[in-house]
Amino acid sequence: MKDPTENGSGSADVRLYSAASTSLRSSIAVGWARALLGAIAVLVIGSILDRLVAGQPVTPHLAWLIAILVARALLAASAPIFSTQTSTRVESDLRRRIIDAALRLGPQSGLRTGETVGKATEGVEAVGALAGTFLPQLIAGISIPLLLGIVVATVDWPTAVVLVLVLPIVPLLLRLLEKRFASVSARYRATADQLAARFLDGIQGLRTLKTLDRADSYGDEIATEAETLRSETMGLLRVNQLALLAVDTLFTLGTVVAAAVMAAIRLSAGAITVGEAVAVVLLGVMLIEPLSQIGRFFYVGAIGRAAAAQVKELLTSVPPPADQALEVEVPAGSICFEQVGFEYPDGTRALTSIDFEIRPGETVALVGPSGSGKTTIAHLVLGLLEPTHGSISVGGQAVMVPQRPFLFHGSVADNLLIARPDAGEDELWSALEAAELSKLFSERGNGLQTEVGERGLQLSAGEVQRLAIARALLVDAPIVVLDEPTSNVDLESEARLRVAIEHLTRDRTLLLIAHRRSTVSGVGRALVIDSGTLINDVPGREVGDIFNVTQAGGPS
Amino acid sequence: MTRSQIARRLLALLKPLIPLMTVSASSRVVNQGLGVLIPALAAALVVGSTDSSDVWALVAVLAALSVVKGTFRYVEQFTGHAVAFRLLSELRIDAYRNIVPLAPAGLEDERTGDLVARVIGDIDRVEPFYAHTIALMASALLVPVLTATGLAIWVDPVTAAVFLPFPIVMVLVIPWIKARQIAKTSSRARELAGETAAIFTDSVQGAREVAIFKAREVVAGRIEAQSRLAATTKRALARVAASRTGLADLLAGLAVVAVAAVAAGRYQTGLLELGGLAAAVVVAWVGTAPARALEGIVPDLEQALAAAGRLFDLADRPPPVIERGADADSPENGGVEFEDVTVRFSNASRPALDDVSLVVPDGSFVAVVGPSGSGKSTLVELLARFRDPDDGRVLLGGSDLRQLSPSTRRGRVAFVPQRPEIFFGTIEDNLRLARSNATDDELWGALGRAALADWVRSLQRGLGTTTGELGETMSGGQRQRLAIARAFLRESDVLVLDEATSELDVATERLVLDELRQERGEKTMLVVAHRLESVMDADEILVLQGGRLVERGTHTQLAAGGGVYSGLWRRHNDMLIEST
Repeated sequence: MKDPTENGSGSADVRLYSAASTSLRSSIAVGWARALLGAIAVLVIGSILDRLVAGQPVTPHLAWLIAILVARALLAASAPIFSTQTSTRVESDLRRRIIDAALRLGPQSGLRTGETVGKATEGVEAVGALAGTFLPQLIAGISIPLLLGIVVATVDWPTAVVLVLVLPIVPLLLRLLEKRFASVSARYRATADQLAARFLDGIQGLRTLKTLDRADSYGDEIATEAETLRSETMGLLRVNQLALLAVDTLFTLGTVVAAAVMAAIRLSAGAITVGEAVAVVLLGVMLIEPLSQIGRFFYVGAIGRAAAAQVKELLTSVPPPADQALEVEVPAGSICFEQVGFEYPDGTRALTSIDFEIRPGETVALVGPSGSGKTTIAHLVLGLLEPTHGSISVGGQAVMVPQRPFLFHGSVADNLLIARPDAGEDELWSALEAAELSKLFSERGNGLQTEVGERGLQLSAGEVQRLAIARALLVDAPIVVLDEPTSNVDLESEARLRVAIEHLTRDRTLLLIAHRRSTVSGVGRALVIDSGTLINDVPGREVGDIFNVTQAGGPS
Repeated sequence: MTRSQIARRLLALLKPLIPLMTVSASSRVVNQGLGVLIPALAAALVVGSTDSSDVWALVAVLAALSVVKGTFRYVEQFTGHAVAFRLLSELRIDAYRNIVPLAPAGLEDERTGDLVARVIGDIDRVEPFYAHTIALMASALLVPVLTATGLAIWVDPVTAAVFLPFPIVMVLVIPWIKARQIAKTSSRARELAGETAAIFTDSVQGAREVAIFKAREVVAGRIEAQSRLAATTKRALARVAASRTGLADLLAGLAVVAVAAVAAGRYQTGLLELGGLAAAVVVAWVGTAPARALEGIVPDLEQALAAAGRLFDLADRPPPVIERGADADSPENGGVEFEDVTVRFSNASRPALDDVSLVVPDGSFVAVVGPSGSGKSTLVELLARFRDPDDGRVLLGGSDLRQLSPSTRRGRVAFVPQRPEIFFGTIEDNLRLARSNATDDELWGALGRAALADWVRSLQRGLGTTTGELGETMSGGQRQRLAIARAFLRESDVLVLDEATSELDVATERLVLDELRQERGEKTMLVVAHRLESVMDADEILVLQGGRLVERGTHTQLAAGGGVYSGLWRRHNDMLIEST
């Protein structure tokens, strides 16, 4: 079935509801079956009236009526089940796709976390509600009047013809109403989002606002803006809801009144019976039902569509995976850069024609002013970035301990298992042991279940570093990249950290992003980077002179 | 807080808008009432009509009623939304004002994602309470009673008596079936939504580590587990909704059968005309809808109450610092004193500050140094009164900070944090936050002293450049300098810098610090230092370690002393290669 909301989404057609097509169809089928049973019940009521007029007994017909209406109630009960099935499936599926997209776009994507999270939570719930509640109602609402038209035809075809002529106004008016409402709600969403952003800005900046003694006046500004939003919205609503007036009136006129008039004409012409006339009036009433249902959930539809467009935009912004260049087999632990250049998508050149080779087991420092391209080289080695020019061969996996490692909210075990989900408890403890952390976590707190807090805030800087090292130890990677891990910790921690680093780097190729003279003094070789080019490759015995070399290389 | 307490608080907000709400509710009653009357009248007239001239009378009556019905629908919707939008706007403003006293110490345990979910998402959830609940309740109660009355007067009292119990059961019984379970599950659903937001925030912020460890599947698995929990909760809600909806639908069907059976009997015994019989059956078919609508909104209502509960919970938290309205004391000068100050964080094993006493004389330049986690920031933040000491006092010019009103304190103490917040708006807006009536010359003067004037001049729109346009291109150092320019505009007695120049390169930092030194003697300066050489000339250097003041003296005294400071100094001399 062609889903009406998927129209015009462009060439990269991202299907948002594919996970729930079965339950979506079931919802629509339930709508149809309910309408059909309702129509039959109305015909039975008509025949009861006719039998009464003719003086015949009606008890069996009443029994039939009970049976039909009980079946109809059972169908009604199944509606929330299907609707929830649809919305939860759509939500789970979209959340998974959004996190996947956000992670694929990676740390340099420039996505604002708040926006992505907004799309994945509020946005996805809105899309779920759209798919679960509004969409089946809209589709059923457009198709059910035709179904009812057929039922009317079995009673009296001229009446059916008139109603069918009136019927196209049903979908037409729905469209009109929807458009009107959509423009209001889009406008409202846009201004509300702006207010929400201002809000967020204020709450996140509350500390600064308070020290500048501006928290209250910022509150006044928020109040003014909220008030503007409100009066603006009401102004729009005043005009746009006139459509509601017209539609409500026209609907009643177009359905109930048309049915009543036809029933009266045909009854006085003797073409239909009294019971059939009443049945036609009731069928006219049933034609209104889709409108009132859709009307009730109009905001769900409008808000859901705005959210769906945003989610789609995020999902389509993920580039297809790059063509894997032919893997050149190189020995495990070696790194080879050939004429490597890197440009950011905005055209900023970060690296130009870098050439070097690192043999397995070597310890090499990357030295240079901040912004010279050291981190970009590290990210290329790790495969977080793809070179825009030249080729890179890396023998085996590389793992990195950044200067400020990120810890996930959760337990120590949660953070370790990120590196190797299938690691056993023994392996986790021996990684902690090697990182000089096993004593800390076995004495303090709950061992592996100790909580690290949001962004690792429950741990000291040195403990965070060592936990990151334990995490890296769990990966059996022949190459380790370290971004000057000792710069941020106190003296006591530094000693422990050095032991942990030694465990991590033993028998592995080490690429060290160096900021300090003492760090460099221990290495076998140093690559000096400046402004994205490799300006010097210094062998071990001359490494002591590097400090002077970079000074000559100019300030950052 | 119980649901009825929450509902009462939400209703209390409604008080000034009761007239508007009454208009909305009564319009809905008329609209829904006509929704029953029009088809009933149509059926009665159709059955009673004998010749075709009646048809035009029929059209006229029904068309007129239809227009009236549409008009009242418009009024209902418009006034209902007017009430809802006004109250949502008030709730938003209140949410901000309630959070202000909590920041920053009272919000430390909050996960950012969850906090944002509360102030943005939860307020949206409250909308149905005002826009779709109250008018609907009124019509659910009144329309069936009016319908039965009309039926009794114009058709037949016995049939009316048979009809009325059905909508009454729908209003009084069905909405309460498993209501407690719906309430519990709804608040669980809101909690899960908050957790999902927090997990998402965490995962996206950790994107680099996810990429390093190729852990996309692990993270997606965590999100999926969360989705499964949410789905289980929602399915439980759906099962309850299914039983309630089914029951309501069954009652609606039984109403039709019961009325048809009784009316048929009355017709057979001649107590009811054919037109009345037709009208009664039509009323039974359409007349339960207004009452049924009530059951359908209960889940939305419960979500609204759960969301409001989370908002009120935030609003009711005691602020970590209670501010005075007016000064009870007046500072003599800009000197600062810490007297036996101890600060304990609830989740820490040792105090963050342990019995610290020190004096910063008026007009002096004092530096605070120490390893990370030694309590430097906690110490200087006490001056901004982000929290109060658990023991001891902090004095400004001889007055306990707790005796001063916030505006007096903030007027005298300017505080620049390590990570200052830059607000959406122009550079000028951001500067004027510090002093709204500053002249352009003063703005440029402050920018100049913060070594930022050249950069702002190089921008196409200068002071009018918005921070949004700059986005991520504004570096940490530029942000810090903008914050320092703000501090220059404050013209305070005391200037506190908490590693406020940490992201500046050495040359620029030197320029900015030289500007600051010119105020020496006039302003008291308390500087938490990032690089030791930037505070070598301080009047006094305070060394903190593990929350204790372990050393104090001038650079020369301390460097030669062989203590903690001399260790830091040796390590510092192991120069940063980058900072050449």
